[in-house]
Amino acid sequence: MTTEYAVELEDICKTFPGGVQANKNITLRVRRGEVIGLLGENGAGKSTLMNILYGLLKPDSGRIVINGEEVSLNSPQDAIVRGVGMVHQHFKLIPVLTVVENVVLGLEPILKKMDVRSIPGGRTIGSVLPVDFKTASKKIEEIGEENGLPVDPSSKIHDLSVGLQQRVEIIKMLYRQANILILDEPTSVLTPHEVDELFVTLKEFVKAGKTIILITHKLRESMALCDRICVLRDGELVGIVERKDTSPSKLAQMMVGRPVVFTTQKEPRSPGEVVLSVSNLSVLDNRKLEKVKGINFEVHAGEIFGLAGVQGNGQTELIEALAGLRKPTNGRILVGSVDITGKRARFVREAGVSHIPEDRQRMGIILPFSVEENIALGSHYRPPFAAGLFSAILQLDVIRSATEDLVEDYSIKLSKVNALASTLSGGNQQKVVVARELATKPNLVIAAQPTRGLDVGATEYIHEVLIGLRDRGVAVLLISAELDEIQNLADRIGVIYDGQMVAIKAPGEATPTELGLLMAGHTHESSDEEVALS
Amino acid sequence: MNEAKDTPGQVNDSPATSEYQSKIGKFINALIARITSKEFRNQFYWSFGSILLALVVAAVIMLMGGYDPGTAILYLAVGALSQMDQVFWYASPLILTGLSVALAFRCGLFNIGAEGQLYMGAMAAALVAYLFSLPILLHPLLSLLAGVLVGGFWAFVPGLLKAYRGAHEVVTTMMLSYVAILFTSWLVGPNGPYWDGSMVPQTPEFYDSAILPNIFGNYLHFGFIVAILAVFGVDYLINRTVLGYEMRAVGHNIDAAEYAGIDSKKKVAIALGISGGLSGLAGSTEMLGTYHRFIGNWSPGLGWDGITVAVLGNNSPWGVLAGAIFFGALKAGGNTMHAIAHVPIEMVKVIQGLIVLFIAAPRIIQWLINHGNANKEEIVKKPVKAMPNLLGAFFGLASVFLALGIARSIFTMATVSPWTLISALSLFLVAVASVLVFITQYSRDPRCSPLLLLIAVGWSTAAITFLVGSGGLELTSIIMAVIAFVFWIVMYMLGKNTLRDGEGP
Amino acid sequence: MNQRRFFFIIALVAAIIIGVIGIISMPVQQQQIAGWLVSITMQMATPLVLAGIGGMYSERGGVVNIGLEGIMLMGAFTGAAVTYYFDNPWLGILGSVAAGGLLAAVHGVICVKYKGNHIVSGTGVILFGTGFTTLMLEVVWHQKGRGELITNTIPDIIIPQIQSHPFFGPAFSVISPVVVFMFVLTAISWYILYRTPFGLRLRASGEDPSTLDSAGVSVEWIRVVGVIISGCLAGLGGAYLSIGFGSAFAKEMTAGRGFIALAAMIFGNWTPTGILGAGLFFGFLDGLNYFIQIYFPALLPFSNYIAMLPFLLVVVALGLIRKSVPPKAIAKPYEKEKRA
Repeated sequence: MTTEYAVELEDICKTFPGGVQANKNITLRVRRGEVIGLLGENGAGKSTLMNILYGLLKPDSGRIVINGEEVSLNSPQDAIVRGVGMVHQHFKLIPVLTVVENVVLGLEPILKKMDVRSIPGGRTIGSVLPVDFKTASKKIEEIGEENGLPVDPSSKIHDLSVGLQQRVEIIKMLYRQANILILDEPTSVLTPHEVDELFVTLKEFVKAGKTIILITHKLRESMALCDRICVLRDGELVGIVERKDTSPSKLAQMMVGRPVVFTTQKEPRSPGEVVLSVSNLSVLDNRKLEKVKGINFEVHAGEIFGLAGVQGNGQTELIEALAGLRKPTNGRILVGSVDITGKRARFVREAGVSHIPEDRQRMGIILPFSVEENIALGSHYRPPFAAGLFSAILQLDVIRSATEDLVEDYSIKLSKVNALASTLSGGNQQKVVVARELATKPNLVIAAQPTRGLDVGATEYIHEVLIGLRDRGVAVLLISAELDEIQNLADRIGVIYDGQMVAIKAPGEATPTELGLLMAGHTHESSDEEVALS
Repeated sequence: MNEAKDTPGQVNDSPATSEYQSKIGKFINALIARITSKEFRNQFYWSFGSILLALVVAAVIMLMGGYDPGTAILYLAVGALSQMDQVFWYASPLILTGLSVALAFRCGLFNIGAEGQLYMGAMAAALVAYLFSLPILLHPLLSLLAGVLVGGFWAFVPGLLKAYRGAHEVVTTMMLSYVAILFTSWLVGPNGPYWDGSMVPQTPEFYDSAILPNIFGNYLHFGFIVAILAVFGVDYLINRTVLGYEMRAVGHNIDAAEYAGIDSKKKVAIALGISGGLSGLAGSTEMLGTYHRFIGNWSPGLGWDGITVAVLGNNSPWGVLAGAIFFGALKAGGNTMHAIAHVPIEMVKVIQGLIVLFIAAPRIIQWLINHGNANKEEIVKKPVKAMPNLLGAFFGLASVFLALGIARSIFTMATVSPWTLISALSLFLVAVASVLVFITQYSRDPRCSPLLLLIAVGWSTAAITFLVGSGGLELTSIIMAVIAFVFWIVMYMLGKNTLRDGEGP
Repeated sequence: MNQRRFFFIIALVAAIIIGVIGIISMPVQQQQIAGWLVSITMQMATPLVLAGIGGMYSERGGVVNIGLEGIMLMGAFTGAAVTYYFDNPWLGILGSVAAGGLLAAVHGVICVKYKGNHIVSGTGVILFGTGFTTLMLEVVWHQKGRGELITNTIPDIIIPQIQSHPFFGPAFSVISPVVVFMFVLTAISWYILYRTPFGLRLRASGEDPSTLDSAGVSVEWIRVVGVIISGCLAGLGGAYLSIGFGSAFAKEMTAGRGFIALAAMIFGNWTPTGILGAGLFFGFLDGLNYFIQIYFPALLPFSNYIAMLPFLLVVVALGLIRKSVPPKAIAKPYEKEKRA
């Protein structure tokens, strides 16, 4: 136990069944008691590497040493007993179970007098003995008090806010007495204020001697918290640097492999008439909670309207209402002069609205369909793609030639046009979606997280396309979780918080800090009210 | 996987000299591209491998039942190949029910109640066929139409419930299928309005004008033509029409379909309705072509077999056609097998079940293929080392059959004593261990040598207990015990050698 | 929520007490009829509840088990065959549980290990179960359709103290241990599902297997165990048909009970108590059929309609009254090596 390192990963290689090489000979040593940042773009192999350390994935080759002991991790159990804990980007919590049930899962305490797990075969018998939920709840409360993370153990996960859910995840690690904490993109769902709180908690943990590995793709965070930063690109280790020796721009260059231009060039342009006007719109989510609360805004022809906000503040429901996938409870949506409030998706599309969806694999693309069939999706039912009696027959030749044109225009890389969409890379899938949505010559494009999960090249390409649209006089509504993207592209920025539009600003008007505060709900009015109340 | 069928693999860019010729050329190109494609080959291997594996397991079961698997399978094949009219006759309703299930599957629905839609369709067709006297061509057509409509309605209702109320179609179609069977058997029973007054619950015979004529042999009637037309129709519907495209979109990804402006609920109800119509058509053709009257509980599980056929054909219309003909062959061959080898006709059902089980897990076949390839390489590279493994695998397989066969004969012996029972039980254990030996040897897993010892011990226990129990010598057991022991020693030595090799350099 | 459940239980207990008081204040002959109806309801419900709760173990873990019908047949056959050979019904029960578990294990391994399609595999299990048992029926008894009568069936528990009572006598004085086990099983299953580590893990694997995996528990193992338990219970349910309630194995003797058990499971919202309630309800409708045959022969022409009733009721209830919420990850094979 005298080694300097808490974790040593040596020459880790991992190739996924699909042939994607996620980790190539990565060697990483983590010192005890430090915060190390694992920085890289989406798909750089950060999560894969940490899933290997946590025992969820098996490496193809390489050594793993934890606390000086070489280990072979067959399941997370092997990592957990060695003090490794992980908070995944998508929380590993089961919504219908209570906090205590989620925390004890896999490590259930048995009523003391009945605990037989020490005797041979007792593990199996133990799995049908009563779980001691009372003691577990007490312990969770204790952990919460000690670390300033109070949470009610008997409440169900789906009744908790995202921030509280993350708290439960951290408690879960502490309950397992982890001293090597892996956090995978912990801030992506938090408001700036919650991020600050999280960082305070993490600093406390470091003081208590715990080791923290922070996976992130945000330069700011790694610079704020980490002692050392390890940069990955395309599954390869680019380098490990001390924080004091580096700067955000240096890190960015390491991350993408070339100097990064933080702003995209665009000509100033005066907006035209109103294309989309939303007034007093209210929308419920699946659980019948009001997620959009009387929102008002307008998007003009020839402008990019950026909608900034922390995930989960009603963006998804707003987009779905605009695209005709969710019926609003109140308010009005006009596209040009057409009222599309509560109309079905087909009507909305015919009114000239295109929609690049948030989650392309869930919505934008049908993976078992060929690229051709995906290109036809949405306008498959009308000429030129369909003909004959009642337009009932698909015109496969027309679809094919249209696809070939689009594949060339958007330089989509594929083996043949009838290849299945599932064989395409993420960037090319997104290009298929964008190509299809823009081929209909829309008046309004709703682009939700259009660059999520794409590499830099594809991202820049999509940005250029969006700006090209704006220059041609199309109205673009851009929804993104990346504040940088919005600031670069948008002509006007709206900030959504708790289902309401808290501010609409021009990009020059507000600094990122101000926008961050707005996204967290700190409007001037509310702070005035707080003052008045106190 | 089958969408590519209608879309030619290569585009003919040269100006076509003759429109017609280029179309044929395109079609042939597409066909060749399809057959040589990897997906098609895999699909073929999987189906074929499943059938083969199912026959192997069925042979084991026949051994346990005291039948001779060799003769049985021989006559199964002979019967299937020598009576093509029966094969197609059996196949025609299966094609239609298979299409019915496959179409629903393509829309993401599991129409498990095809049987009920078949009954309702048959009932409607029967009523038109015997209550009204109509002109000769019109009568069967109207009768079939009635069957399609009523069968379709019987599935459309659960489709509506699924689409607008979220009631799971597996439960609703299944329940409605029981309702249909009970309802129709009441209609034609002694208390119902359409009883013919005989001992059996059945309707009077149909008018001759409604009967579908035979086309070939004693059995095959026009229903087969109807079924083939349905294959073309469903293929066109699924691959070439907007409706089929939308149904497939809903089946693959309902969110994306909604996003694209497709009314997924409507499509679900329509798809289940069409599916029911096909099942109804199956029932009607059987009525008009084969039975000529509605008899209570007449169907020998045609709807159920439709599920199997759809699964076997991977839900593509042409695959369904092939699957249905294969099942028809099994049935026709099963009759011969029953008549000559005296194996009960239920054996066919067992084989069907086994095929479906293996089809459900293509990875089992994939495992066999992968390790088969690895073994092949091994033989080419270092034949000396590979041979014992393959021999061991073969020995394991042979051991399974022998052990089960002898255990069976011990069980049926006149004198049963506790000793012989122990002998039989140890043989069962040997059979299980032999399966494991086959698996380990085939995949070149080093863990097999203790298993071989276990088999040797098992065989010798069987021989000894048999000797004590009945006083007779069981030669096979003794020989197998010796072979297993020798194998164990060889494998043990080899294992040591390879270990030394590994340590050496 | 808990308060509501508490009131519900109180109301239920009160209803039962009032019902019993109402019955025992009726004339003697009607009491006897009521007692007989209670008895037949419990008997008809037993295979449904056993298989239904079995299905729950499988589906709560995330594996659809539509093969219950085939597994029940397997249990019924094995129970009868073993009892026939060894003349001991308890061995028969053991055999049926083992056979059911074995067939379910095949399903489980195909679905979990080889990531097969649950419904396809389940169809295979049904086909195999029906075919194999009919085949073996001929092998064992050399008869078609129905096996020989088994004299030594599962002995009933007889309570002589209440035998003479007009209501409790016919209802409870002669009761099969399997029927008693149905009630015990409901309680045990509730306890296992909600109070033990295994139950917690089972529920987790049906809701979100990746969470269970990251908690260090083998999803495959938990799921396979769930499926095997479902097979054991369905096998026992089948055995009750051939050597408990009846006394011979007949071809396809389950007559769709496996599917009704599935319906009872969905109806009971995948909870043990719900399945017991739904099973008793279906059992009551089933028993009603026997009831009119004996007490209202005038209604016999309509016996088909009464037989149809449970099926129609399920459709109506599922379609119009309640929406059931299945476990979230059901029928989805869990692939570990998938890129997130």
